Formats: sequence, structure tokens, C-alpha cells
Amino acid sequence: MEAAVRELAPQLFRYSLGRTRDAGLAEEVAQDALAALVQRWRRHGPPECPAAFAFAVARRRAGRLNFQRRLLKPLHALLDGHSPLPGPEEIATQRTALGRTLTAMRQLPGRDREALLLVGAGELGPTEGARVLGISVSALKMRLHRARKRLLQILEEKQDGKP
Amino acid sequence: MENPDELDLRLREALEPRPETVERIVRGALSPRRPARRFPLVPALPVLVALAVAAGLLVLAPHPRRQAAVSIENVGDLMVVRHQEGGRWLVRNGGLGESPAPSRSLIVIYRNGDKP
Repeated sequence: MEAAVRELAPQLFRYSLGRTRDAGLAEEVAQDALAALVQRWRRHGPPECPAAFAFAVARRRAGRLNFQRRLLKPLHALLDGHSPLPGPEEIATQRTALGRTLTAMRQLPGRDREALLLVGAGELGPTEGARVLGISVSALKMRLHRARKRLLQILEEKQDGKP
Repeated sequence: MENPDELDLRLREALEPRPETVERIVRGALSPRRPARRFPLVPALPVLVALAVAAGLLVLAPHPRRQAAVSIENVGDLMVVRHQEGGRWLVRNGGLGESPAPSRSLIVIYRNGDKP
């Protein structure tokens, strides 16, 4: 079990970081998903596919966190007096490879981004990825193809200095 | 187009966690007792309560009833016209022909601002 957790931790973190765009939240999501896996393993034995189980939990948790963040964002801005403009830390992050990738990922349609994050970043197989998303393997492959093509296009445009 | 594997590799490299982050995640997941997560809506609670109270007051507060300027009520073959200032007129059907079955209807005219 520990080996599976250790193997899945970076995969889940990469997926969660792509979903939440926040390292702190990504760590929380990955840890929650793995804790759910550990609990399930201890109580009822290993699930049929531990990776699909953990990614399904991470997907739900990341979705909930993103929703809560969107809901509370105006409130935090109001209560904390934060400016809606990006701060120096955020601007510095945007200039890194991570920042550029996250910005490019944001421009992908949600479904395509999700597929790419599960398979590309999270290293799930097409069968497991399709299972987590509740779609067929061929539909997943189609989304992946579209997402990769568009992401590459966006990254190349950015490299050429186009807006 | 770039090889899909190369693109995925670039993606993974960009999103790769630090070793200490991975260690923290693994340790946290395997620990038998995890710290309870704080409730994320706690900061919003006072505002939500205030909004709920305001909405409740808005719904429950008595709305001032507008007084009719003129009301015209029809009871059978009799028409009753009442004015806000107390006047009342009764208009009766002249009795020509057979009267239809008695019916009842009411027309109310409200003042709108200063205009009648």
C-alpha cells in the first residue's frame, strides 16, 4: 500500500496543481485523495484500480475547492481589501515555466484540459482515465488529441511573442 | 506536431512537485489521524447570516396596503361605486328586459403618486 501511495503522490499533485493552479491546494487535494485510498485499503482491501480510485476522489475534491474559491473570492477581496490585480508573487510565478504552462492550460476547454491533466500530467492510462471521467476510451483519446494540439499551438504562440 | 509524449513530459516537468512536498503528502496520507480540515465557509458565515436576516425581514415585514381611490363593485343588477373620501353611489339596472343571473365583480382604481 505504501508503495502505491508513494507512486501516486506526485501524479496526483501534478493533476491537482493543473486543476487548482495553487500549490497549497494541490497538496491538500492530493493528500485527501490518498488518505481516502489508504482508508479504503485498510477497511475493505485494495480497490480494483487504486489509481482510478484516488484520481476520482481528487477530481471531486478539486472541483469542490475551485467552486468554493470562486464563491468566496469576492468576499475575500471585500474583507481583506485585496486588489483584483495580480500581486508581485503572482506575476513572478507567471513568468516561470509552471506559470506559463498553467496560463496555457487555462485557455483549453474544460473537458479537454481535464483529459490532458489526467493522462498527460497524472500518467493515468486511457482506460483508467476514461473510467474516472465516465466516458469511452475513444472519446478520451479524441479529447486528448484536441487538447495536445491546442496546448502546443498556445505554447508556440507564446514563444513567438504573440499575445 | 510535437510528439505527444514529449508534450506530456514538458507538462509533467512544469507541474512536478518538490521531493519534500511529495514526502509531506505521503506522510499525511499514511498517518492514522489526520488534522481536521477547517470549515472553508467560516469566514463567510457572518455575511451569510446577515443576508439571511435581511431576506427574512424583507419577506416578513408588513407591506403598506395601498388604499383604493375608487372602487366599482357589481352585485347582481346593482353597481356600488365607493370613493376614497367617503362618497358612495348606487347604480341600479333600469329593469328593462330579463335580468341575467346575479354575478359579482369588483374594479379597484389606485392612485399612482400624485396622479389619480
